[in-house]
Amino acid sequence: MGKRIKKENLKRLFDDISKEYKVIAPVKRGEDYVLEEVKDFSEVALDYPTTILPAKKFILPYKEPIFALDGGEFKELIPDEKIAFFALHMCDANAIGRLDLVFWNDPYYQARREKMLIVGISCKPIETCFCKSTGANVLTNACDLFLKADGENYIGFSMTEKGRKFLSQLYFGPETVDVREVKIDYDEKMHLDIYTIGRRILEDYNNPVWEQTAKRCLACTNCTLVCPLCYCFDVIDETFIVPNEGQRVRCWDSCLLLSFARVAGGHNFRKDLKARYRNIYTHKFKTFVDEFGVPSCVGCGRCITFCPADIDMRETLSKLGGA
Amino acid sequence: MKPKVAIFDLTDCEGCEVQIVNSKFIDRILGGVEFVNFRLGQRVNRWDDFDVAFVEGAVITSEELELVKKIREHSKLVIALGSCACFGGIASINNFLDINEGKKYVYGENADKIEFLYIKPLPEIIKVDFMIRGCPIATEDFERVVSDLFAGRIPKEHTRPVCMDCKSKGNPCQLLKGVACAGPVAYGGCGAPCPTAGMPCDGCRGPLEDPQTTAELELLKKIASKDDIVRLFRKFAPMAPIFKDIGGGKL
Ligand code: SF4
Ligand code: SF4
Ligand code: SF4
Ligand code: SF4
Ligand code: SF4
Repeated sequence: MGKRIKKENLKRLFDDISKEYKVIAPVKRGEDYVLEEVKDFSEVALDYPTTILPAKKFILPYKEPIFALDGGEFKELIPDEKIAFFALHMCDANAIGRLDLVFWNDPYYQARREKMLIVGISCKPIETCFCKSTGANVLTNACDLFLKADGENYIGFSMTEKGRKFLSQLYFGPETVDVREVKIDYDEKMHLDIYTIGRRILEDYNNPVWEQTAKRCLACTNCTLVCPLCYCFDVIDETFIVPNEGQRVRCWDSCLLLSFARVAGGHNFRKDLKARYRNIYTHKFKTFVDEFGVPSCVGCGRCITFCPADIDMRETLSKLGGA
Repeated sequence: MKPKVAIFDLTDCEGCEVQIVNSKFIDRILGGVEFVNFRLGQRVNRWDDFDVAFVEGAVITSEELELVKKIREHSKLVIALGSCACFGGIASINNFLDINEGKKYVYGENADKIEFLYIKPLPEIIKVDFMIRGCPIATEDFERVVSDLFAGRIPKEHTRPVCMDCKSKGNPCQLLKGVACAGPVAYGGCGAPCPTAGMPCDGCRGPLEDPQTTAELELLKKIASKDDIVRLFRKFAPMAPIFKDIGGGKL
């Protein structure tokens, strides 16, 4: 069940949310779109292809101090902020839903997540999208509120108590609209049978596609950094000259780096880029699926759009056969 | 007793020393060490045995060559400060050119009186215990190394490409705009000021461990001329491994 909202009333919704939350929304910067804190609704891009960095930028920041040593005194640094994402695409909202599976127990993640509001919005799929293949094209309760495009206007759907609070405001409705299922439907440029392919990865471990693609790969890590579901981090201790002042920081890492699988004593489990490149797929489409039942990929297409070497994850996946 | 520290500068712009003076922790550093020799930072300097000597700049004259050997003899640890010391720096562009012509262009009749050695990176002249890279160095890198030395730890190398610094800031990619960028093969940790300001990375910190040089060059050849690629890698760390070959025209 949804309730209609006129496009011109989205500002009222935005302003209401701004009263309670720090609002993060897509804005245009040069040729690109980025997620940023927005104070004025007129800056929000309602219609955008994709943002360079996903919501991860705010949920699991690049460098996050987790505790500090202040004059020898130990201080835990639990984040205290109330963030609302406004106008996230379905894939990006569902990516947060999948991150929840991993970080359900993480105090830093949960401190932000519990207070968070997620407002999704309809998108116009672009050439690189394959959310249907990953099952991330369907509305889930990762969105508190979802705004489905309806001609010029929108129909709002609430999936949680937090979302209902806004849907009950006067700028929605009042009459309800009966919609059975909310999902993003389109013809994917390349549809992939993700679960079958995932199972093939270990069976077909030495498929030539790894070697061929790794040859073109720069190991620049861009694909993992822009991925809403790459959450690997390293933990670094920083001291500030004197030994009793410093902090422990967790910082994004990437399995594409030589240092990623290096252990004490210098042994490295994935010395070749071929093995490191393959690890992205093993993790996203095999081991993550085994553990959580879904891939750690929502088909947002960022890794394709922002790869400087023009490497297309869908092509690699399709070469694993099984499709 | 406070550790005895020296900072020496050879042929360079002194920018790395300025980065040290810029540290927000400079008081803590001054409180923790005795600067026995630091020409840019203090008036009275002397020779002694040093616990740590930082050497900034490239070795261009025989006098400088003798000086670095003397520094090594007097120091427990020698740290190369900045890309001139680590990789020859900007001045070593001359290694690829006809130095006599260059000297004539700049010094005219006096050209013969000017000495200019083939520039070698400091580690090829004396044993160097650690390198702080960059043109200029990042103040945070200096602070990190000093913190580690105080704590009795061996400083750790960065293992991330500049792209990681760059994308963590959410920058659009220069390569995707068709601009040659050394970021994927360049030693990170600088915070990517260049791509953040809309310019490509020139790899001033030298190469990353395990750089994917072949893939990078294949890609660059599609968007840039051979000359531009050569110039890109010949700029700030011309004598660094790998960059030296590319700067010399091997691509
Ligand atoms: S792997 Fe690629 S398509 Fe999948 S979620 Fe990550 S960035 Fe998006
Ligand atoms: S292992 Fe690799 S692919 Fe998986 S989340 Fe970490 S960085 Fe991403
Ligand atoms: S973005 Fe492309 S080139 Fe860079 S590491 Fe990923 S696949 Fe390789
Ligand atoms: S602009 Fe340069 S440093 Fe930044 S991601 Fe692109 S290649 Fe890497
Ligand atoms: S971005 Fe590149 S050129 Fe600029 S400081 Fe960093 S390493 Fe040096």
